Amino acid sequence: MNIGYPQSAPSRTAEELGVLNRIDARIRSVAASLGAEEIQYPALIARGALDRAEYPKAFPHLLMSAGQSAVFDDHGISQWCLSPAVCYHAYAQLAGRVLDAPLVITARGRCFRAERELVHGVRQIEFEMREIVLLGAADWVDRAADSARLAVESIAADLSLTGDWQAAEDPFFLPAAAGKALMQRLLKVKLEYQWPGPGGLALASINRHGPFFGQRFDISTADGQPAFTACIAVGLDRLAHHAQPSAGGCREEVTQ
Amino acid sequence: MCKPPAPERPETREAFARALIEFIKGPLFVRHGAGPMEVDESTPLFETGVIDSLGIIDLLAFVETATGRPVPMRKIDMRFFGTVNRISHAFWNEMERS
Repeated sequence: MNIGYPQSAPSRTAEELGVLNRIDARIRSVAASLGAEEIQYPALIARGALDRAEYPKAFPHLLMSAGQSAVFDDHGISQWCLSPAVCYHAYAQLAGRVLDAPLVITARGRCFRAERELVHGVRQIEFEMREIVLLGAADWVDRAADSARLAVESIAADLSLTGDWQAAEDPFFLPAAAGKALMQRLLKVKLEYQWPGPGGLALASINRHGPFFGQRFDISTADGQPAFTACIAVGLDRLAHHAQPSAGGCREEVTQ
Repeated sequence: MCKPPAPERPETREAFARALIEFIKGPLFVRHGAGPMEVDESTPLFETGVIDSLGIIDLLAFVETATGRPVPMRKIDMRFFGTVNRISHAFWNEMERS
């Protein structure tokens, strides 16, 4: 939908929203097949929750915060941030818990990252993601993530967005984190579903965190070990924008 | 980053592998406070924590110095980096072909 003024994310007509909702419903069904509990989280997230996840340290260049002076602390730091991803809410919500059984949470939410460029359907400051968060023992998390990977791949193919999974890394801010990025790529802890359309585009990602968030948020399994976690994140704006109209998507034209 | 004491151009793949093991057990362990730990050509380097997110930068520097060429991103893969054996096959052999 062409609005004619700068927008951090696309406005949508009822028809366009219907496309996005139908795609989301399919991802949601993948989560349901894994036994997911659906939760709606707010757009803002407490700064303390992100600190605990070490997000501001790793990605200060992407973090956006609420700017009304009343929410600033004595050091001038806002105590409320705009959620950079949905899954941080889940870890904060479960902090201190012992999981009697594997847990799956799914949530659709608006996320915010201070990207330098703004191209709707490609890179947005504000975007919607459906995430499936897996928490449990290492083996179970791996198996569930693999199952979700195949399902997401199948949905993308149905939308005429066939691609493949490629090793990737997070955009860490500090040069000193270059080693972390290399380790992510080497150990394939982050896989992106890359659609080779114009320029190539990641439509979804699978992020295996190992015990990192289990340790940071004191979430453990019944045997007392830190819970392993993984997150399947699906970019709803990108899928809706690039899916072929014949497959129920919004793509306006196909470049030959 | 460690200054890799790698030979300019190893004579053989075996020499490359030996130099790499000495580098891991020597400067790399000292710099990152690891070891003592036995390392041979088939020791898994990453699963066992021999090399961590700091050590991998030094490891790459060693390989690039020894081979005289940058390691392309597509080669950052366990198939090429999982053990000293895999590294030496992937990068010394490639250097030989050039």
